[in-house]
Amino acid sequence: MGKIYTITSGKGGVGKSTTTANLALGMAIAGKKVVAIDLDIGLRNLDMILGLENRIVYNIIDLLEGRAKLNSALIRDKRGDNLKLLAASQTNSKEDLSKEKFLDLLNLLKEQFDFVFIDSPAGIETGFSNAFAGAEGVIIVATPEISSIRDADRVVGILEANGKHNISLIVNRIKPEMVKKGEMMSQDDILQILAIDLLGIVPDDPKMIEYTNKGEPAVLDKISVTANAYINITRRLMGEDVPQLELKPKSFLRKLFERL
Amino acid sequence: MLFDFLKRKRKSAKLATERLHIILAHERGMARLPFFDDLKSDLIKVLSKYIDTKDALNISVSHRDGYDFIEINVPITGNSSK
Repeated sequence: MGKIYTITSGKGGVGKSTTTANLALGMAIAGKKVVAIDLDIGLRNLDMILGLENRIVYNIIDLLEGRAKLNSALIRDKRGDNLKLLAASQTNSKEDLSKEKFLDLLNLLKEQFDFVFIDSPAGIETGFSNAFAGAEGVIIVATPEISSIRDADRVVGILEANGKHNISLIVNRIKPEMVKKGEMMSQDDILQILAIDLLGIVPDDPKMIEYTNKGEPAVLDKISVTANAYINITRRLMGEDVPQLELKPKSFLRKLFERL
Repeated sequence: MLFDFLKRKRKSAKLATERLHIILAHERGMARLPFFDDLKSDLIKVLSKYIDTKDALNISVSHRDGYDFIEINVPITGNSSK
């Protein structure tokens, strides 16, 4: 039986879809059978981050309403067979998704895949409760900013009130230079505030925009620190005990080297 | 004094954690006590029968040692017995 994880945040724009894309692709590269579901109905984005936007014929609403078969709605990743994408619909609204049908679908996918990653919409409305309803684990993405952390705490409260206790945190876009100077909260500060388990930390990477521009997630750039951060997280999700990444401020020489 | 602006900048992460600790303690308390807003307006009604509560009345929730506390702070000024 596969495992279902929902990636959520509360606040928008903190990197949910990017995180989903990288974890799903990272898992697929590691040999697991994975499906990534974009549940941000009306605001489809995971397809472009993965570079699969031209392959979409049917979306999740088509599938749930019987206009498409499972095999034609699951879009095959261009890099391999292990990853499939189930795209969000662009024309529907979040209320159009039937929770019962969606939970049935998850049960079916669990039998065919090792991991199911659900990219949750931002906010705490209808779409959000659909997104975590069938999940065993919820991964919260937060950046080291007060608004992101406040919203993450609110989401934790809602999840716990709904009986979800397997909640872990990815601290995204950490800038080690700023943390060192005391200008940015560290992952320890954030963990102490939110009081949930740390799943991993991901550095702020100026190349991220390039990865998105090309539709080639960071995890494919294997020598990068960011790819390593994501790979570590996927290994933890597979049950391995991997030490947390130590992010060090870049030295002057390193910065110079990267400019060349 | 000349370098005060530098010092202040260095503390901003600490300030952020302090501000978050305070607001989240309050918000978590509110989430656990859904009746709080109604209770608060009832308390204000009762208090204002006896005391001039126009300003500086503060009713809040805090959390310490595993318990929620409802804290009521009413400054009683000079001739406030109505």
